[in-house]
Amino acid sequence: MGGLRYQKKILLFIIPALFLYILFFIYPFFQTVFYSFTNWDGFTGASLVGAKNFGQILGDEVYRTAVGRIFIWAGLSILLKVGSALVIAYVLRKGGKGASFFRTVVFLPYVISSSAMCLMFSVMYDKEIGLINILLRAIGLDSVTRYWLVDEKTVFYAVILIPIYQAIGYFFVILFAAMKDVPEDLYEAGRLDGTTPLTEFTRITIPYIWPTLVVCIVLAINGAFQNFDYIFIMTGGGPGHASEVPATYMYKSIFVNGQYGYGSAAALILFVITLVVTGFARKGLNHMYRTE
Amino acid sequence: MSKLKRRGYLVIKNSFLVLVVLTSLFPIYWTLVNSFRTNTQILSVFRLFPEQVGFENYDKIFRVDVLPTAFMNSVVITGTTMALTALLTMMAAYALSCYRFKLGGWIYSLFAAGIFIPSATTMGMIYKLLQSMQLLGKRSGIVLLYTAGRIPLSIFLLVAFMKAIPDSVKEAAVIDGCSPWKLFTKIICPLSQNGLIIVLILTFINVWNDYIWSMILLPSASRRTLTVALAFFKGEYFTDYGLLSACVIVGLLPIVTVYLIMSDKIINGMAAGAVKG
Repeated sequence: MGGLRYQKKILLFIIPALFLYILFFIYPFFQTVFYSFTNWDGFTGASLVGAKNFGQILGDEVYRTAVGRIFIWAGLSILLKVGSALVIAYVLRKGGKGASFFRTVVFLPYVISSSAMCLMFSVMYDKEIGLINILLRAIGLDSVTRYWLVDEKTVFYAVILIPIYQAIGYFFVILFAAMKDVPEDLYEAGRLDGTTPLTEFTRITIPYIWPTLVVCIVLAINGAFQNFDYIFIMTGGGPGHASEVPATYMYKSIFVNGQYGYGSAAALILFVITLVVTGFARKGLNHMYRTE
Repeated sequence: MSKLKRRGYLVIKNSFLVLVVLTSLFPIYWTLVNSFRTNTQILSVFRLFPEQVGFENYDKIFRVDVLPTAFMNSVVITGTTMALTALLTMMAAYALSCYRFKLGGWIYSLFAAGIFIPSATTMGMIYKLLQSMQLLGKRSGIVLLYTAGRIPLSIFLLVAFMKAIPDSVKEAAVIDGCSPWKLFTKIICPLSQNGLIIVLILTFINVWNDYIWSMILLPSASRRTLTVALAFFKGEYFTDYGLLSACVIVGLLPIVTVYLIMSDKIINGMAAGAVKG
């Protein structure tokens, strides 16, 4: 890639990183692929079982529902995380005095660890003293109050609200930076053509920052598919399987039931789903606005 | 009329922004308030300001030395990972970005592929691997794993920075008789400082906040990191809200302090890591 003439010594600079990378990325990845076709239990010898694991997982109602859940999660992430970040960035687009302070404050939740965040929210969701129920009672919605993390209907949404809440600031910063690059003449030209604030947003801002917006959407999908600390800490996938996602399913197969082969297959399915969905999202969305 | 309309717009805009600020800060603020109150007080009435600024809860935490130990574990693990990541990825990025050889292109693509392999995919196999290397439950094992995890994105970012250094600078150094090592330490390292800072910030935040790996790979209580220790408190003190809140505040303090000192660098670094990756 560079311009300097190559000499053998140069390889010495790469070898340590390459060694560690192959040991902890490439090797375990191929192992995962291999063992997903076996019935390995982690101790005794493994024997090949063909695609049996995959068939069993895809036939398992629990896994299928879990996959459905991450799609809902991804959808809500795009809508709430990217959506509200977009609105906040647009409102603040002209900057002004407080912009830097505002950025610092809004980004703050994002640097906090998942476990600290979960601890805070488990108090906020408390039936008696939790802020959420207090607010609901204050506006007269006593009947809606509940144990958010115990009720099977609400538990999943209650948990994923935490990472969604946390990442709004992150997407805000990215989109805010992109919006600053929109040339002011575009808005002026638009005004001459009679844009309203709404059409200004949809016809000028959105198309201009589209590539960045696509990055945000892909990041949001990826986060929803792969991130499971929050569910793990808050509920472990329960009660029952009410907040199960593919990653917790995989975790339980391997670390609770000792089914290394089966769990590897579950992990691999999630890997493929992630790759396919983010790939299609990137491709499809990038084509939506081809401004040349 | 239009003046009035503008006024109205400004009021709506500002109240919206104030609402966003309050939402961002409220959970932390409320936890801080509760950390000063006794459990009886918290259970009896909701308050926006504490009855007293009491430190009994904090006193209780520091008497059991779980948190100080966990804090030290986090410091050691994060610090070592940052140093090792910086060294390994700077060296590799230097070789890949400054020298012309076919193999380099291949190796670079191999590294870049890692960005697409999420850690959840290989979790089980990595656990077995560290077990077979006798590194399970040891801090050195998790440091090696974290460092490996940082390699793809870090090399990707650093190569971009180092490629921006003009070839003429590098060539002039070689003509003056600089050895590859000297060129690296005297010219390339100082000139790619900004890239290195981004890599260090991303490594710091990611490793310091990581929960899953340290929960799986460091099972013994004496090796627990801060994030895992906090999650354990959730189970242990789930009925004592005051104590729980104080634990959260202690757990937040290190990262929030670092953040407030260098928020601009952290925000820009994390945004750059996302968009370029």
